[in-house]
Amino acid sequence: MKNAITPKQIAVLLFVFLTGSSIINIPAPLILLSGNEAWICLLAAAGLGMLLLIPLVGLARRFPGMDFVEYGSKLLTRPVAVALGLLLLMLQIHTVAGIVTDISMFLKSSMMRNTFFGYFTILTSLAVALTARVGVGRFAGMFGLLMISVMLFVVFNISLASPGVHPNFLLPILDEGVKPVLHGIYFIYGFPYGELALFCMLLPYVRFGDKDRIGAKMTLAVALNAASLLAVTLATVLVFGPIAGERKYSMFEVARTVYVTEIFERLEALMGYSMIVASFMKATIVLFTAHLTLNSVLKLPRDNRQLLFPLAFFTALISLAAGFRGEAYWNFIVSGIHPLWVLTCGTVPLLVAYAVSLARRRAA
Amino acid sequence: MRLLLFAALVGFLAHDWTVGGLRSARPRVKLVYALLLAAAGYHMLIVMGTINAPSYYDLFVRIYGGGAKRIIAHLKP
Repeated sequence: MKNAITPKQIAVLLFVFLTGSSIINIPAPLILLSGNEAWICLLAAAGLGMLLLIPLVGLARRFPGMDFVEYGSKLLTRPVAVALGLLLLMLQIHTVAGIVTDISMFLKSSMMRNTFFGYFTILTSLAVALTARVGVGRFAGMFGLLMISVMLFVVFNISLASPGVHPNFLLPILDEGVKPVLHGIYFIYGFPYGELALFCMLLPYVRFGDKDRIGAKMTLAVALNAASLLAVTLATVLVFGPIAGERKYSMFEVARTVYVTEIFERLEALMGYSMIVASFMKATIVLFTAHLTLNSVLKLPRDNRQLLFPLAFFTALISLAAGFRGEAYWNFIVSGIHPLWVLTCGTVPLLVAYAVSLARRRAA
Repeated sequence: MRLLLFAALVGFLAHDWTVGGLRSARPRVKLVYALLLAAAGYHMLIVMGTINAPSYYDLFVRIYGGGAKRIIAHLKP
């Protein structure tokens, strides 16, 4: 099959997808919501993400080469599968627009304050559309290398910031009860762990046999992502303490504190690069899956790319419209609405298909 | 920004019509293509300030907003 990828590549794509924009965006709002218990929320949500891999990979094994809409048609009838596919598509459109909005807001607020955010939105959307158009077989290979550079810079940043850590900032824990932990889990499940349900559209591209441990490889990707986010979150808490939740774009802010003689300073430029590249990769993956979902709903060939540009154009305009509403509006969408949206339009359809698949198997 | 948007639109339309095979595409592809452009055009009118109308996100804030607020209120210590 054209554009086929290996189990290792899908695991790399999953790591890129999960870590993409979350490594810069997640720590501050998570710490704001759950305080010093942020690491507990991360581990719990990562566990939920790993559990979500069971239906995802289970359905991919039972229906090899089929995407969610195709095996949904077999399990649930075509109209129901199309309806669920449209819910998934609406979530994917929002996710692409959201990531692009995030990139624009980051650049506008942190690096290029006098530039109108619309330029970032349009140019990023253009880059994402052009990359998605070349196909998953091409960008899967490229993204692995880019992600290595992102992670190297993040590790570099954390290690240089380590002289400024204060271990006492990790306490107290659970001083406000369990509700902040639940709130943190609600938030971080939505972004990024619940979103891995979108991989139901990418798994048909994977060539795997019965002996290929694709589940184990994807679980490792989730675990590595959890470890990365944990390191970044702990670094933020240890450096900033009580104000950690207020420092948006945590790694960027941590990089600003680095000063080692006069050689290592102004490292925030590296974090800016990391944030933009990582988010761009995630946006490309999601736009590609959105395009696949649209093709599948319309019963078009999987390799048809005629609708990719108008889809990207639509997400760019949605992103622009959201940017004009202001930061408070956007924060409510990301922290309040997005987890519910992911749950209803991503997780629930997948679980419904899996439950029916299990029931049919038992009946047979 | 308008020039950039217009240039992107003309660029990909020209590409899809010629190289992309949109001219000979199935009717449903052309229909969905037109619908996506119409939806994008609607949002462009909102962005330019020509109309004051709900956007894609406003629709979903209306659908999920109440539930999200209740969940957040319940989870506050």
